[in-house]
Amino acid sequence: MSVTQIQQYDRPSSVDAAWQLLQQGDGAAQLLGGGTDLVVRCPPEVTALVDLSDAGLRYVESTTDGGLRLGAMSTFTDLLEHPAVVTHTTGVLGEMLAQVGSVLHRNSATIGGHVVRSRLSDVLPVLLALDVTLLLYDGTERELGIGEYLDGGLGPHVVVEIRIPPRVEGSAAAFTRFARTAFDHALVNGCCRVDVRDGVITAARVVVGESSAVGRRVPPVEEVLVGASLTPETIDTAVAATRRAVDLHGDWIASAEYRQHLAGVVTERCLRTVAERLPGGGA
Amino acid sequence: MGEKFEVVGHNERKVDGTALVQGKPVFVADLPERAGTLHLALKTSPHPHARIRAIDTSAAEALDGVALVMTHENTPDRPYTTAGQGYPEPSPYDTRMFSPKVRFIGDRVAAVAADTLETARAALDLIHVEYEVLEPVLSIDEALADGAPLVHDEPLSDAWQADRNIAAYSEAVAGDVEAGLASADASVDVTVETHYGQHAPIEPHVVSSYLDEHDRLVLVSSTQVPFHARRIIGYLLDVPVHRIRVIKPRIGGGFGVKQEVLLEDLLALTTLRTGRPASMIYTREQEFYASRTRHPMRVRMRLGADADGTIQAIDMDVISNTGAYGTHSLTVLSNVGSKTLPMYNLAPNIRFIGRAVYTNLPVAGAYRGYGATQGQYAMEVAIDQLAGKLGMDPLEVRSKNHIREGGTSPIFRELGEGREGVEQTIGSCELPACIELGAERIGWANKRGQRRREGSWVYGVGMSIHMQGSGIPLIDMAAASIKLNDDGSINLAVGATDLGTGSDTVLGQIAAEVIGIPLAKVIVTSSDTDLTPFDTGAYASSTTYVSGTAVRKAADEVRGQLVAAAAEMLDADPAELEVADEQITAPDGRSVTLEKIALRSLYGANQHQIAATASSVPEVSPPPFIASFAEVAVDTDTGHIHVLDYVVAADCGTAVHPRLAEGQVEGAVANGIGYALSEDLAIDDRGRARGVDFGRYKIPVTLDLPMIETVLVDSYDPTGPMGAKSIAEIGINAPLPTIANAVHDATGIWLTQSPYTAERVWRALREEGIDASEV
Amino acid sequence: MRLSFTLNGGSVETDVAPGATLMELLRGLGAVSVKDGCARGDCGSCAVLLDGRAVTACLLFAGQVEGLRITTAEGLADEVGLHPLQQALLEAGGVQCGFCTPGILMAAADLLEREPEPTEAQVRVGLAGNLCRCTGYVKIVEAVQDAAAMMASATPVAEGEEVGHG
Repeated sequence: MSVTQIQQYDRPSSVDAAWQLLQQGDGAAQLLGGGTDLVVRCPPEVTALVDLSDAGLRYVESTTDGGLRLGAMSTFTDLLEHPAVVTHTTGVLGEMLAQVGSVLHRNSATIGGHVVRSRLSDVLPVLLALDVTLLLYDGTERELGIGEYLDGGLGPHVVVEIRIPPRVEGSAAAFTRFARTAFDHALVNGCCRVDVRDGVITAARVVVGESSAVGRRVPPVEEVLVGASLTPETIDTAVAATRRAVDLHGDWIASAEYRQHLAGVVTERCLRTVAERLPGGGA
Repeated sequence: MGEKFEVVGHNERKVDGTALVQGKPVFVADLPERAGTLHLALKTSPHPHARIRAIDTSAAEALDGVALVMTHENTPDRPYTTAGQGYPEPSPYDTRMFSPKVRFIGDRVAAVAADTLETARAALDLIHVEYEVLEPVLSIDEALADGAPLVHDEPLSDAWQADRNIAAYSEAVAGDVEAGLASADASVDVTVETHYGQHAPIEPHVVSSYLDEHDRLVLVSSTQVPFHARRIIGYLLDVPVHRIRVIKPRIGGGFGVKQEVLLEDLLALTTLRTGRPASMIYTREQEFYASRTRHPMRVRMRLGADADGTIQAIDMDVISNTGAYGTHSLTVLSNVGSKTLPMYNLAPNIRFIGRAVYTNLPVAGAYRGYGATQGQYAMEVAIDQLAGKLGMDPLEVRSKNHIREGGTSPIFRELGEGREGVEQTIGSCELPACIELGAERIGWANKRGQRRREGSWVYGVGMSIHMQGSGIPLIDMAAASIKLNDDGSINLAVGATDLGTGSDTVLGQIAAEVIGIPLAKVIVTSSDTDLTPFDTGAYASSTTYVSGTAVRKAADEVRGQLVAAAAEMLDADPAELEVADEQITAPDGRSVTLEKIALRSLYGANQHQIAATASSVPEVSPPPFIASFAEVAVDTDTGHIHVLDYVVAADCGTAVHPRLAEGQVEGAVANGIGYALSEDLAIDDRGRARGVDFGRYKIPVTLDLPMIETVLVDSYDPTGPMGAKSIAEIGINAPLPTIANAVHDATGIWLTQSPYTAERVWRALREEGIDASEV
Repeated sequence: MRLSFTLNGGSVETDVAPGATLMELLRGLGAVSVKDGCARGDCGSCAVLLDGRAVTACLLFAGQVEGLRITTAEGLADEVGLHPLQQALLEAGGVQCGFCTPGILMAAADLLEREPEPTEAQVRVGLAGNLCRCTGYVKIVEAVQDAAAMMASATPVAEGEEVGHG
């Protein structure tokens, strides 16, 4: 059945044209990326769609310093087939993208759409762990950190590009998820990145998410890691800190207690993989 | 073993396959929409238990495009059952099209027929309903509690004790079970509980309707029971059966849920009242919460055995939750015993007591396995526990006790489908070969009892054995008609209902085999109440055995007519003629083709239509048997169960189409694995089903399953068509106990509550003090 | 609104409601192999090839296919006969009720174009978005590998060339 509330459908040929259309109608217009979410969950006030297919946002560029610029309309399949994307920071992006939805979804879901919808996401924990920034357009272009972006409070805008910084020397990252079946929203997911110099962790990102909320960094665990070596003992401490620090909720699929437990498992598995991926196999 | 066949036993191309792989318009929703078609939408109850005080449909009726609004105020107030069973149905007449009292979240409140589906749905929102909310009954225990609210407080004569929320009762006794248990050297007492599962056919219920040029009502329905649907609609709406035609096109899966007459009444009434064509398709959510489910059950199983492992006593106590209505409540209940207890037939002392209770929860109904799934779960876990107590290999306990060829069980006689059963002696049982082959293939000798660990994973193997039936003896009935065409091809018309199983192909193969023609020369027409003879329908694992026998008999008659004609043409003794390769040959080598016989009989001498119709009513129900084996890995960190390997060795008699038979086993096992591990309607404490779409009700995808392996053992049942028995249901009974037994082998925990979610397993592991730190 | 695209090799120009889904559009045009099994992207029975890539037609708006090339199960066979995937599914017993079959064919066609000789594991990944309730997937997975073998031996396909047609 069609989304009958939609009265208007446009395919602007530039970001600026899209922005102009988006501003009309006071929240009645909605940007359309890959479309995997809007048909099922179209907000009731939306009556116009602004399809970004022709806005020139489907690209992947490597920057000279080793960073990546992902056009917002790049599909997950586009990204999975791009060598620089799947190998970035010890392969964490590829590892994650291969586990998002099924091929059918990856062929149409876009990275930009995913960031904008900010829900049920395996993608966001990895973007948070990699300190990505977003290029936004709301009349002018500006760059915003992903964490700040997820805090919300922004007016109408177009997400133009996801900017992934170059890999930090001596860093490694890993993503893991736990779900009931292979094709299911994660009960708990997580991503960890550590930057190591001379055997000591100089920076850490620990993100834990669950199926009904976007992932969040867990600063107390990051603090445990920074200044330490990534030894089995450090990992044990980080796992315990994770279970103390996160506050996951229960629902009919899994209890809060079980999710808290899984958060520790996810952190442990991420950090163990990170340790293997560090130059020289870690500490 | 058995005969040599030319068509039967070969992997012929499925007769409907070429159309299906091209996406041809063969399903109900694909057929061209008739001009003026009305689209129906359904309003369902948000309360588990409530009385409708008032219902105002005026605004909905006033909406432009709305043709009809149906509620309890303007539809027949006639009790009936939605169970598509033989007449008279052994299910209580506790249902009405619309009732002034709603009994579960999802019960019918109103339906709207409008020019478009959008309009029909908009009109639903305009219907104002005033409810008097009643205290609900939300579990088996609440239903049986003293002073419990009554789900059915209306006069109801054919439920067992509606005034105690008991829809159905069943019992069977042989010997003295208490004495047998008391004198046993070893005994076990285990209670298992199963949950709400749903069939989840990828095509939901869908029906369209119209009046034909003679103003007869035509229903095109995705149904397993076209003839029962015609009879039930005729009764409910007071329309003579001869004024109704039910057509079943291709069906996108059924698994029992389409053995229910769920939408036909709404479509029929709409078309009769408005004169317009109509169509309705359940939404995916409605398919989950407002169609039918598997009966959740609590089964207590007590076994007593001698020290040498011989089982002396079996006591089985069953409470089944039938939900708000008692469709299939009695027959599924009795099947829990009748399909479980005969397996271990050496035990002289047996008792079976079962009750099915009403609750204000989703309605249970027929679901592949039909009670055997729940009963065999309890039995096969109990057998493994008994083996543990006796210090014996579970294979040995089973081999010592299971039924064999020539054996019988008092249960066959005591317990039928909702009434007394039919005595029978097992004519074929290759279970010993099944157990041996399965054990060898899974690596039982090397893997059992090893508790191999790798990281947080621990490994184990488990098994179970199973039986089902082949149709319902002295109740099921099937007929087939065959006629010969000019070119020596035949039309085969069967009432049997192919719901994706391949029965059109299997029945075509049987006819082709007998008449000596290739399958390509058989034109199969199935399940059109105007065009095909009667058949009770596709359920109870009956089609190959019961309908197949009807086809074989009709084909035998046609073969006889062909031989008689050939004898005239060849001037030969009919007894000496051979029928093969589309011709009939005399001992001296002279022959006539079937085409020549056809042309002669239609246009030449002794003109007549070579044709026959035959019926089949089975006198016994020979069980197919399987031995099921799995290797699992359990993640002690998370409780996740990974099924690494699954093997089923099956005795289905002659496999008429081996590949389709394997497919039945594999599909049933996959469904059973899903039910065991992840599928759950997840009823919350208000009685609302939460797992109502494929995002939440997790049926297995490719990545969740191993390459399930099916081994069909050589077997031949003397009573079956070409030696065939059934195969469609049996596999679904296996995963619950096989996986539970394998998880016990891996970890030492017993899983007695389904589904085996990771969290449930994790909690059980913690209670046993098992975690990854033991590595 | 006006929309033009290619469907199974033929150009289509049609009017469509701005909120229409691709599934509705295609079924309305007679491509009823595009099955409505859940209308929320969970079952994969509506899968079609969009410029060679399998997507769920129920989750896309019709407007998204402007100027693109769509293949459905109706367009998989050519004048010579059934596509190897269709043949292999039939021979292997990968078709039971057949309702999920068109979607499976689309996902498999996408897979074989990228991975002409897929392992069992790759086939399972490629079909993970397609629910089948009848088969347990065993014979479907086998069929996709059989089809790959058939295609490898029948036509020396140049790299990058599209599988089938459409």
